Amino acid sequence: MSTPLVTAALAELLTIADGDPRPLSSREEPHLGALLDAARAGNREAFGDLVTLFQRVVFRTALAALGTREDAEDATQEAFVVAWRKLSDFRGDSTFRTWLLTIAWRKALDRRRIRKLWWNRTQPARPVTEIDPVDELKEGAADPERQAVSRDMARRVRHEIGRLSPKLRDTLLLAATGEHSYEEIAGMLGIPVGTVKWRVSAARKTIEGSIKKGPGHDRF
Amino acid sequence: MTGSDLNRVIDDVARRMTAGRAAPDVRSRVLDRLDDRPRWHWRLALVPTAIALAIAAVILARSTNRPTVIATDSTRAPETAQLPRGQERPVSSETPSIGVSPRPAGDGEAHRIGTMAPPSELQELAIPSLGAPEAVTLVSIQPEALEIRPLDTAPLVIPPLDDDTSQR
Repeated sequence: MSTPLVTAALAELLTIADGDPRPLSSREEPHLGALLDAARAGNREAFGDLVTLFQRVVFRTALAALGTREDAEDATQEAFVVAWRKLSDFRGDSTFRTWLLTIAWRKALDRRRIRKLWWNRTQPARPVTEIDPVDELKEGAADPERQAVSRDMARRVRHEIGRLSPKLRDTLLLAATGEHSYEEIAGMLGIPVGTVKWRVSAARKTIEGSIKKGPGHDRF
Repeated sequence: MTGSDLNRVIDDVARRMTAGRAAPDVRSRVLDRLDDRPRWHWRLALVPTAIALAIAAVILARSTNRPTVIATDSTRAPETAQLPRGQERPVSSETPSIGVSPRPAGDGEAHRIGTMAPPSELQELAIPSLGAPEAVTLVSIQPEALEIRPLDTAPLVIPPLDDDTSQR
């Protein structure tokens, strides 16, 4: 039997012996629960494994809020460090993943707030993201004209996404990552699931409306 | 372009805006930072230190059983410099009330604490009260200045209405 499984079994036994009907890690998968228990006991390597497991989703979550790779990486690291410090506070009311993503989201928003304050004082407005999704579009169509139209449309869509209100934009981008369910997004943002769905729909409609009105249209 | 096509483009662009991978060394970086203290940690340590110093200062001041100067700022200009020219600081026998500093604590000025010393010693140590600067002195208002003079206007004379006009 591998070490994580032994740890999980021991954790189960200890929990039963303590009379607690529900172990902290019962909501997690066995392997994850074992890592979590070990990390809570101070095992850094176990926490390192948790970092490896969740770094991608945490990074993409931060990227949805921040739009730049450097900021997202910093926020990712900060989120994991905070999670390590607060691991003893994790009660298991939600999954570890949701708990961790909530921390990551808050850290990303903190960073965005600070960056906005600093940036507003020093620089003019810049696009929401420095990663140009248009340049990364696959060259699927062979027809150069069609390709150009597609690129132009993607550029306009990106522009309109950047002009959405933060609430709509954040929800749309989080949903677009493909990493989160609506329930998980609702947990991270602290809003009902229905609100998440409404925001995604409203974001789409807003973008669609702006695109149809033409490129010269400006919202106030 | 149809609505579904546009939705597909929106999804595609939004997905690409959040696409990416964290640096490969995130794990090692995080593990290196696990022992970092929060930035505000050192500030928390200052709070009990400041409280302890304040308590010690109060105890020390009370134990000496006489007014104690607990803070002075030698860089501050003497108060005589703040007085208007030609006006000397009045040395008053009426000292300010003991235990009540004319300026808030921490202002850099010396201030007194304690009330147990004999009044004569306190009077010697007391900072003379400041004379009111001339610019601040209120001049009493003369009642004549407030009097409203009656307007010199000719009384209105209204001519009587003609009978023809009044009958119209």
